[in-house]
Amino acid sequence: MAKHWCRSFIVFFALLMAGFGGLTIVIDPYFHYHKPLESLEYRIYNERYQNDGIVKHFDYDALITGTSMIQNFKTSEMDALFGTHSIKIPFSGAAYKEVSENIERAISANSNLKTVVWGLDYNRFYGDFNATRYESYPTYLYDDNPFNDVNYFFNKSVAISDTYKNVIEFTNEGGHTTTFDEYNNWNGAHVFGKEAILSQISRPNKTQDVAYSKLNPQNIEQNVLTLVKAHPEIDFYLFWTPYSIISFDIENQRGELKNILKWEKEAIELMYPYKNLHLYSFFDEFDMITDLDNYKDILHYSEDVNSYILVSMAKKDHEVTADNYEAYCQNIWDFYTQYDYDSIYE
Amino acid sequence: MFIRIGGGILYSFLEYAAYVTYFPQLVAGPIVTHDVLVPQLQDEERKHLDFNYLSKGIILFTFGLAKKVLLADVFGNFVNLAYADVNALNATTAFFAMLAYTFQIYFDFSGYSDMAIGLGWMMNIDLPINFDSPYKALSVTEFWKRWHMTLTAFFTKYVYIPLGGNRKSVVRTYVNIFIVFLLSGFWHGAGWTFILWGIMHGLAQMLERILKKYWSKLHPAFSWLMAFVFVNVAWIYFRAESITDAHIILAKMLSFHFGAISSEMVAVFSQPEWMLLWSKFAPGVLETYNNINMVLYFAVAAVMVLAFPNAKYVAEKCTSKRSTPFLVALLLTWCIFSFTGVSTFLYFNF
Repeated sequence: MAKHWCRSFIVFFALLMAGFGGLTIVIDPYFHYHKPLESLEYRIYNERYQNDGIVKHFDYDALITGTSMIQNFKTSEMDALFGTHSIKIPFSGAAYKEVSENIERAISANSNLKTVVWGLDYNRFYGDFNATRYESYPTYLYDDNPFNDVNYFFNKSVAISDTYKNVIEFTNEGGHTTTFDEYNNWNGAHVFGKEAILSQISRPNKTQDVAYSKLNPQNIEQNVLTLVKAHPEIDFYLFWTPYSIISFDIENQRGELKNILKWEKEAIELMYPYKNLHLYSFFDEFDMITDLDNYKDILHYSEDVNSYILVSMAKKDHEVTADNYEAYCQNIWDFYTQYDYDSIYE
Repeated sequence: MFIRIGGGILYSFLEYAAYVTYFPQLVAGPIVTHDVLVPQLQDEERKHLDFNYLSKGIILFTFGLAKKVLLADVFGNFVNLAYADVNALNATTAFFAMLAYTFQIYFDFSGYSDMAIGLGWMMNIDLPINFDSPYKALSVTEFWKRWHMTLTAFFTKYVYIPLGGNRKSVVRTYVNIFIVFLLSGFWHGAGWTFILWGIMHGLAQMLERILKKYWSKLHPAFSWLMAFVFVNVAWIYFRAESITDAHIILAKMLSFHFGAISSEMVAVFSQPEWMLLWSKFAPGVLETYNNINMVLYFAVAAVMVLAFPNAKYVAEKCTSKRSTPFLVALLLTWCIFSFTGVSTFLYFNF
């Protein structure tokens, strides 16, 4: 009797584990083992869980990456302009190091990669150069240890929410695999304009200018230039994320604005010497920066701005080069240090 | 090489090493003395595969794991959110946080003990029972006869009795009880919160002894409620980061400023399996009653601690039923699939 009990238990247990675990391995909602199966449709939405599988197993020769500032890019536009076959891998809230290390992973996984479009958050290039958010990463998906993959395929959240709901049920309901135009595009989910933005913030009081000290170059050197130098075969299209005029006001009120503008020049001087690094800036597109209808908050711009960035890059418009960077820096210095910020709030 | 234990018993080095490193109970008990374990290790009769022991061991281990993973950890997530910012609590949240920790620590600790006893059984070893439905106790004194029973036995044998137990004077008995629970506080952790918790339990039992005549005449429902409320309140001090935090939680509860429980905390109970079941079999219910998962967790936990027989006895009975191999396999699979979740990234901005 007891022997029979043990035997039945072992058979049922093995079947259940293999059945549920095997389903996730075969369907692979995070693309950890393979690209999407032809016969199924996949919802792509979970950046830290799915991006690594995307870069490892999808077919592409170009990628768009960065933070929420790049979520509204449409790879179809990129492909039309550059003749590429691109993917989009956003990392919400990431600092440079995290994005940089993920680009490195893409490069080592895919030798066809020729073009990288990378939105450099303008409020991060002078920040902590080692900042990451790896503590909440599913590290078992990122390492090369096959044994800790049990966390992936013996995982009820994955089994129920992803393998079942976001693939099987999604397919049955007539869904289609998320395109990279759609992947975490938030444009339709927000109200844009001055009223919406001002309701979210309180303007800091004006304080004295913070004393200037030189830019710590590590954020650019360690996180950007290391990649650029190691991969001359890849063209890096970098751009400063074009934040709204209110972000300049807030830095001005805090007494940081002049430092940031000086640091930007120092950062540019680190970057322009590299032939495969193409830096773009739109801070001299003053009408765009001061038109708050382009923004949902002080930083985040609408998808029209993303489209404009791609078109400009394709035309080499707004590129900051050895020849024009001093004039560019002077131009934005004059504009942002003399702007009548009080008028925003009238 | 032989090791001599108190009382002149001689064990081989291997036997002694097997005893001190016996992994099932090493980390979280039950506390097992050498005279319980080593004779079983020496027993030739136990040195073969016994399917009876193996099957009931698998069942009890699975029950323990389920208590830990499916109940304690879920309540634990709720508790962590509540205790992280005690000033933000309203009376409702403070009350449920107290109750949630009472359930968490019981399911966690008794779950570990069940797993240890279950593992022991798989190896033909009988480990002593450690929890006997402690929240059914009608007094604090009875609670300690049902909660972490091997620790109580340990303190009785090595502290209470050497101090004279109840054989000296009445006052001395009270002092001895108090010393045992003061030590028990220290034993649980080096912090004032644990020491205060030990003192509370010591004082409560002294008081029960003094009022024994009156206490025994109370209606059992009333004495149960008194004991349960006391144990709950004491757990607040056991869990809180500081005594001040514990005071704040009590004050919040007694403020009677009731209010909604934050959606973030309610979401702890929205495990994916329940969300799937609701959406398949009763769509729309969650929109109307968004607290329903939480209410069910508390209700199920309450029924389990108050009305269910001990897991050890249930496990022994289960081996004779035809349907149990599948159900136990399903429960174990469910537990293993619950080890890892998918974390939510809450920073959309930037």
